[in-house]
Amino acid sequence: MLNRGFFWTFTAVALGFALAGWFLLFSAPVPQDANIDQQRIEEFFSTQIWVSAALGLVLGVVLGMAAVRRIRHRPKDYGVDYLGRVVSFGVQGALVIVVAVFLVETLVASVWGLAPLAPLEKVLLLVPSGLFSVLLALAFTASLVSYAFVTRAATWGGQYAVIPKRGP
Amino acid sequence: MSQNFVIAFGGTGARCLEALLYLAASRAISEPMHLLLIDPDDTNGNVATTRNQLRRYHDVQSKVRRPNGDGLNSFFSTQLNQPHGPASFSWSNPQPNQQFRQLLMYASHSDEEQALLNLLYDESDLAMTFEKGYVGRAHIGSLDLLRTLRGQIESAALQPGGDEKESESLQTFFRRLREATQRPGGARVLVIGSVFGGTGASGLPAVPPLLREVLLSGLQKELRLGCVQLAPYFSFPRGREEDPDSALHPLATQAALYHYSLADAGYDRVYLVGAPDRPHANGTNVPGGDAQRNKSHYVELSAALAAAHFFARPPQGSGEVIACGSPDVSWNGLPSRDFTMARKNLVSLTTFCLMHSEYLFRTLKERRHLESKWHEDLLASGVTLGGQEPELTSLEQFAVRYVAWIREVQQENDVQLFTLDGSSSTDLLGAVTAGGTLQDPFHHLLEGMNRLGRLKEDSGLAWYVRALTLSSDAFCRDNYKGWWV
Repeated sequence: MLNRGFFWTFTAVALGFALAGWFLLFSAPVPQDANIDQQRIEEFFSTQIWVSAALGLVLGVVLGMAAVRRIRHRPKDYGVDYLGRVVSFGVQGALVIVVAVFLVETLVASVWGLAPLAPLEKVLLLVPSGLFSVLLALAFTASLVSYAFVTRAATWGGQYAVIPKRGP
Repeated sequence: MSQNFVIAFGGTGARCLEALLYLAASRAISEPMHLLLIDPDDTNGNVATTRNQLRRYHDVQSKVRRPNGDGLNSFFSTQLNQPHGPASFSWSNPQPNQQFRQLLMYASHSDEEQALLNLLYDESDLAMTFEKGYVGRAHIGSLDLLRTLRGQIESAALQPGGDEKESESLQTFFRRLREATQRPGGARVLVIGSVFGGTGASGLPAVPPLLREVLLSGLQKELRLGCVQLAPYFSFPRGREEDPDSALHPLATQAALYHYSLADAGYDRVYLVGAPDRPHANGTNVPGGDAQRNKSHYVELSAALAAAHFFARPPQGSGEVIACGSPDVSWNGLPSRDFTMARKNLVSLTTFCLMHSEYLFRTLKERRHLESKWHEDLLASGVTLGGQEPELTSLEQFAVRYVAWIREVQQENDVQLFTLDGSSSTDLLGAVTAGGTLQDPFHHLLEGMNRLGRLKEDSGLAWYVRALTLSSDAFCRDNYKGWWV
């Protein structure tokens, strides 16, 4: 089950979710309390969408490098086992990255300039938003893509892993 | 271009031939050779081991068969006895049950001739049969071998080549040799045998006159002849009174060398090989037969390297005697180490053999290789491993015996070549000899195969052998950085 198809399906779903959210972000702003600066909320998401994507890319590279060091062929493996471990490591690592991005973005939300709200109120305003999940989906997608490129380029000489390439 | 021929006599010759086979398998010798093992004792354990290894090599090599000029030959690409089959590798006495008395046609001789024979041979000699070879009796073996070889060589000299049966290994060998001497470059023949035992001591003096005076009589003789004479380097426990006594080997050697110092043996070059100690090579005194499986020894590797030297640096004159020594048995003390690259080639072959015999063969048997990257590349190269299970099994059996040979060779206390211990951990793959640095050798070796992509080979086995060769070479280069230059 843990093969290239699984990996890229997972990535495509996350990307689709992120793109749909992106579209929503700029087409249908959610009405807020009159005391809250609507523009600052939009600025939060339009800024953090790049931050979360960048975080996903960077952490995906780190994840890929960790895979290079940790994932090993074993004598009793079946032919598909190794790639299965590569995919599994990537997907699980990307989920951990999502958690990390969630924490970072929650922290950023708590200090975001949204007068007159207290930090906890800001978090309660921004994090439950559907748009916040777009940030996470984008980080997830970005980390999987950068992971795939790193494992292809560094680990298996461009010949293996989730981006197949044939021939010398 | 010269063609290379090797004749190995007896159990000691068989063990040297086994070492020579490993040099060929490892690419330390890459020129084609025609090998012939002569031992009247068909059941001898050492002979059987070598014969089996030769057959396995032939199985694999017939599929690999691709020595190319890019300097990246696969293991097993050195051609041996091509295009002949594995039966061409050895000859044994076709009449082992006949008494020596009958072979001499003792009864048909006159009284005076019988009296002379009685002076030369006692009753036990005349009653002797050869199921277990000459059992250290060179005075019998020399006459019997001379008689047998002369008959075969005369036959080969009289008949044109190409119509011999596959099983007639002597005929095949001598006809090919005769043809080679008539071509530009001629032939080089190396004879290997002990000077202290039965068959080797009998065969060494017989070959030069037979070749020069019978096989090549009246022809232009483009022939270089060399021999490797092995002095005692092993012993075995005392047995019954009629059994061979290894305590007599030094005396027999002294007598033989004294003879060779006085008489021209007919060789252009002689390699003298021996060792200072003579450890027990067998737990019991076994005069012959299947139980005679003496342990391998580094001297046999030295004899094989002497063969490599003979073919790479053939004699220009005659009467050369070569001997060399070293304070220890280490890679830097091995003769012919430079042009054979023995250290690199043998270490890499050992890695290859361990990887195949311990891991990949089992993977193939259990079909766990399907969908692996390297197997997908193999299929994408237009070949398949299907139908080559017998050759893969031969490769596995060859590898198992080769690793056992390595372990036997390194058993002597002063041998500092390999460092294989008895463990079966994957770490062993990276610790074939001293100086290994990489962790996870199994991973690196398989990764090396996965990186290769498509390879242009004629068969799945050739693809597999080449891929594992390239991977083993690359791994050893990275693992043994300290000395791999």
